[in-house]
Amino acid sequence: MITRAEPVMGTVVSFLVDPGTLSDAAADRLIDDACAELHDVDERFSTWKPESELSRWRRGDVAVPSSLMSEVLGLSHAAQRMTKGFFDPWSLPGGFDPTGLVKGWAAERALAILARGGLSTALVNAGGDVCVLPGSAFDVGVQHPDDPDALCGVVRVTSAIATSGVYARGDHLVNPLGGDIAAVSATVVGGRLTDADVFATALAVGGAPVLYLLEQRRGVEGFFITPDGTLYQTSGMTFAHAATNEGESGARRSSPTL
Amino acid sequence: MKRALTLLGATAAGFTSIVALHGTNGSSGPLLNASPATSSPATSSPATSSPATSSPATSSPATSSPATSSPATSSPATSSPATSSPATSSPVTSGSSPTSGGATAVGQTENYGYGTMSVKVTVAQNHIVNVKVNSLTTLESYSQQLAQYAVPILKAEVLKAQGTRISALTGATYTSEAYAYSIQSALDKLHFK
Repeated sequence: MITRAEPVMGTVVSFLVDPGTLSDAAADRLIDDACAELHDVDERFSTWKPESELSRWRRGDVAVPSSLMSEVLGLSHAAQRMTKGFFDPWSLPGGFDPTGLVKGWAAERALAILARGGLSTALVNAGGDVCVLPGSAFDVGVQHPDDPDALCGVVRVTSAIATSGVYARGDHLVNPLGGDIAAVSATVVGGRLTDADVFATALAVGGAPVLYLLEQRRGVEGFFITPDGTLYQTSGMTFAHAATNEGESGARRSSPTL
Repeated sequence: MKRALTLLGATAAGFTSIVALHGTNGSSGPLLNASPATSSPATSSPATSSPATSSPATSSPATSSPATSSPATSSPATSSPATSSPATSSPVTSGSSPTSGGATAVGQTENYGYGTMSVKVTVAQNHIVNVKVNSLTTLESYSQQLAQYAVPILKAEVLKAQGTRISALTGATYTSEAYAYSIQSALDKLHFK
């Protein structure tokens, strides 16, 4: 396995690649290309860089959006629709901010470069947003909300997994409804990473109503953990390992506050 | 105004049904019925056959604003958005706070299976600039169903990463500074040969 940890987009993007039939050098070059793509996306969509296209767009300085900007705007609208407004890049302080979507989308683009180059076993982890090439499977640990050095579960991932929470960067989630945030941590597994990323944020914000939306999406599962440490999951959610004491007294809890 | 409504009908169709459009000047204008593009309420909900259809019967439409009291005629049994419950909806404020001088429209209260919701769309310069959840009710039966899957996660006996074989870590996004101390950082070193 070849690994790479690339600081970009305010976080670190980790690669885990099996070169397969390629030479290590060829696989390394593909990772170079994938990293270049991540930096391009960062240049264009950083909210911290005043001259990024996104910053200029937010100031109203962009007359005609680039094709990538148009794609992100389209994905943002789609995300808002499919989460019924629980993910809303327009509701954030400071104006339109698709950051919660761009990271997962960028990781997908990086993974696509690896696939086009001939790799068949690869994982890209963009600061917790993980996607893997079709046909490969990886066990991914889900960080415990109470302890960054511990896991609350391990999930076998064959497409994508994303987690959103309030614990790593402080309270950075905003509820478009104006109420409280439902979960300290929310994870979505399956489908494309851009959608998993968006739904993880929506699930952390909305809790049960968003879990219900996930129930209706084929091939997508998820769970969220409330501040009191209760885990609620979709009916098809499975763990390779889980740090729960299901079956003991107290395993049945009252409904979450909705 | 007419143009804005048409645009909403075209762009927001499938998301919500537009019932009324309020001007930005605060005067709640006359109710405009849904544009043709947003009709066919029977298909607007992705989960019309869910158990949620039994709940709207208790609704008290009187509490909702004019914007959500739809003139649609369908029966409760079909779970059309028009019949769903606005009972706990927050009142719709007419022409409320458009973010950038646009027009605001509140969609019909829609049954989406888990409960009901309506959405507020703000349009400025022919673009949707804001979509907000305007009202939301939830379904008791799903809450009960959900509770059956609820499990407390252990606070004391968490899975220690060193004892578990994993390839990557998902969690709330770590900063590039915090990465150095993260499990992912350890994994990246571990995998490197």
